Amino acid sequence: MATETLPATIEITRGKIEEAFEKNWSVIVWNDPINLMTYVVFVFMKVLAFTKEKATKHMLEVHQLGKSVVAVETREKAELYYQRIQSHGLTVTIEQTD
Amino acid sequence: MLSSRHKDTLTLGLSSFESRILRRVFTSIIQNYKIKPSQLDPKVAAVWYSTRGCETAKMSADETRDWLETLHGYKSANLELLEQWNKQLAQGKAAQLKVQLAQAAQLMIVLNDHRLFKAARHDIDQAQMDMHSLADMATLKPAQQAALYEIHFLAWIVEELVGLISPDAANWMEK
Repeated sequence: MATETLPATIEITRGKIEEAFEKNWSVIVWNDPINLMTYVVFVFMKVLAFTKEKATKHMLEVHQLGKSVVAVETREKAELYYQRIQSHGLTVTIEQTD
Repeated sequence: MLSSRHKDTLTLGLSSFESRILRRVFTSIIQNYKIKPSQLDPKVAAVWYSTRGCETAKMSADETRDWLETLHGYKSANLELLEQWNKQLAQGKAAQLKVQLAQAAQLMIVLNDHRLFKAARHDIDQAQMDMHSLADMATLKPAQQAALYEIHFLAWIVEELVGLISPDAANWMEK
């Protein structure tokens, strides 16, 4: 009996491990009228360790296009970024990508 | 307001009027940070504790509740600092607010939170934020006008703080 269920268990576990390490979660920051452009650049540099240039590029995307994908990460890391960015007052979501 | 930095200490030199406003802001933030997300004004909660990302992440109800508790924990963690800063301004005269460099980001976050709070509470949106003349602002309700002035006043402080702790971010327009 045990030998029959083991492969399925291993398969499920392997699937979960692969899923946990798959970088297919997008962290998206959305435009809003209140947060300052300077402050958004600061938050990107602080939380995401972006250079000034990269932070500026993403801030302008947010400002001009309404949103910017600032990271594509594992679910765990995307959730961490989500929490940290939101705690700074920015509007942020995470979404699984294909 | 005059801002300066000496080594790891930032100083905001405030007039008595600015000091009074900032003290009122700190008092308001302290009160609102103590309120649980579920008991906060729904308009403010929708901004401070937005669960839009929890929905797109397909979090369960339990995961969303944990998420909100963590977020509330981040805000509550600033209460002690807020009390300290408020004490510095307690006299109500022209005052200096001294902030340690390591805590400057926290000050920015709480001031920004108050800007978001005021905007949500008083329905300040892009149209109001784009008003740059007194004549335009005069068309708003008195409470909205006051909220808008406060939002801009705090923006000034946030910009000054970014300039002091992260000149690169402050000068993002310069290549």
